[in-house]
Amino acid sequence: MASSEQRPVPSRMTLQTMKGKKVGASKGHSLLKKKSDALTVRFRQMLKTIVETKKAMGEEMKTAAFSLAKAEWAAGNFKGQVVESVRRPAITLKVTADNVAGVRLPIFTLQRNESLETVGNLGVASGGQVIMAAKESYFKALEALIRLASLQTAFFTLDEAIKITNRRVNALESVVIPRIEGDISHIITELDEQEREEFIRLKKVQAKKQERAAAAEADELGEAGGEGGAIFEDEDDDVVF
Amino acid sequence: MELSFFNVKDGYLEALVRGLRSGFLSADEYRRLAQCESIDDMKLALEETDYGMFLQDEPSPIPSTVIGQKCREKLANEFRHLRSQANYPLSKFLDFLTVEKMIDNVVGLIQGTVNKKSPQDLLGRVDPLGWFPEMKAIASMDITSGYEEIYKTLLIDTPVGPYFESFLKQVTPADSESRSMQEVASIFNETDLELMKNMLKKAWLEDFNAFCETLGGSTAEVMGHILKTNSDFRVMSVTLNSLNTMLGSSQQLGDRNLLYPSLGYLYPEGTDRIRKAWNETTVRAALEPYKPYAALFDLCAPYYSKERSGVTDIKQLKSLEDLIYEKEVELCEFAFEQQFHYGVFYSWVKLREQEIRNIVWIADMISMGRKEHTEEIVPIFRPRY
Repeated sequence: MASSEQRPVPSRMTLQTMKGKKVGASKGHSLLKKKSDALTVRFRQMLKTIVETKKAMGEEMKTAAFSLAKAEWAAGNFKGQVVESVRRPAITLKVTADNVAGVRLPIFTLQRNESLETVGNLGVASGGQVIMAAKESYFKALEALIRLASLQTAFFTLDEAIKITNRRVNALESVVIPRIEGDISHIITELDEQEREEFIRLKKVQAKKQERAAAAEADELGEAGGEGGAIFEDEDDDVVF
Repeated sequence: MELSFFNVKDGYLEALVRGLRSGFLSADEYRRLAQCESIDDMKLALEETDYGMFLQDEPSPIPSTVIGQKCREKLANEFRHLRSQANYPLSKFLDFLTVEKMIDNVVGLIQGTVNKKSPQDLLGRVDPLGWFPEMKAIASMDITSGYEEIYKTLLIDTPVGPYFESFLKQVTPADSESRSMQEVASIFNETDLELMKNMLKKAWLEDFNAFCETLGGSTAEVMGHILKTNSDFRVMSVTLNSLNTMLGSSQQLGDRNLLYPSLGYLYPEGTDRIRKAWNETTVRAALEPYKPYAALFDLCAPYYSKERSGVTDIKQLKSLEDLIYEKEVELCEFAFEQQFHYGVFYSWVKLREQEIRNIVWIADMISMGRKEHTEEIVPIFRPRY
């Protein structure tokens, strides 16, 4: 492990901070896990609605195309007239944001300004109402389309958010927390080791001390009966037996 | 007299038209078209009919609008062939037929030009039947130089000038003999072009009817019937289409009433009654004494009522246009039952237009993959039993 090269200094203080880190990491992990779960729930729901909306939109689009064909049948080719009478957009898009577990999801809403619509008197002598019907069905299709766009964008944003969150959760779970744990156990072993060393050292010191004490005792004893001894010794060289 | 002299001038052309009559798609041919799987199949199927190779130069994915345009070009070509051989009064009669399309074209061009569209674009969209050389002048005119230019071009250079004249007379106060350019400008700005178009068409219809009456004989009889019925349809159509819209509201009833032609079987009493109508019930009441029209109204009333329920219903409902097309085809078919009159020319053009609509509808349905609707056309000269 790369971290083995930069093991923290084994001391009680680092142990304390490490423990603090561990608590923080597991707290963060559980929070992120919750967030990811919340997002996933939302994601699943969204997936369902997207499928439904897509189907509905397919249907709406078909109806709209059909009603346009019908309008052309009734009123001839009126596309040019519509295209040329357009000045300002009657339908605009408003973007608001929704907040799901801290992820901002864009929501598109359609705004229709009836007064700017231009088809007013189009085809008044033939097919006016059919054109209106076509307009309405296209409006419905557009609504479905915008709903779908809103969902789809949210879907992508959520997808991204979920991926990031999961990555974080996984990183916490399988990298950060094990590393901290490893560090902690390393510090603990290291501290134990130090303790043992200390103990041995103390023992050693004690042994030395005892030795020394014993030696001192022995000296004292020697001094007491050593007078004669010394004399003996002194005389040792001279005394020839 | 008519019997003995008609053929001297117009016998050849009548024969031509009656020959062209056999070129209408038959029920079998419609069935074959409806069974096509794609537009390319349709092209092949059309090649076996009177339409021949008219689509052969088109690049393969042919949109239905192009098919429509090509069909119209073919019709315009045949029409021009007839026109070039006609002499007065048939020539004038044929010119009247083109004027209707010219009005469409001119209004479309004005609208496009005001919105600064490129002339090529605009000229590509016009109906070939209503094509006339001065159209280029409208499309390329410079509106920045003021409305004087438009006014001049429209009134002097185009065949629809007289109708514009009468339109301008109607919308400006009668006493101002010398209309200033300012006034003309404000008219073009303020009047809905769609309304203007319909007022022009109304003027045309009245003019056409007056001309047919001067011709006398069976032409006046046949054409009188067709045009009167048409103008009645027009009245109904305008009324129904303006229901529940701005134009149908009480403030604008005046504008709407200007669009009613002053001829037809409804005119004047029926038109008067309708003038005062503003919703379904009152329209129904106004039509009450006119049984065929009341029946027609009842058939399509559900389509126009405000409380339309659901989208699915709309498909089954018939709009007034569907019914009018059917009636018109019937009218035009009957015109072929008599001889020695000009009604056949009018009928032939109208029927061909309906046929083009049919083809475009089938093409639309095929490209949309909804073949179950290909039956909803108005067949022409369907076998009667």
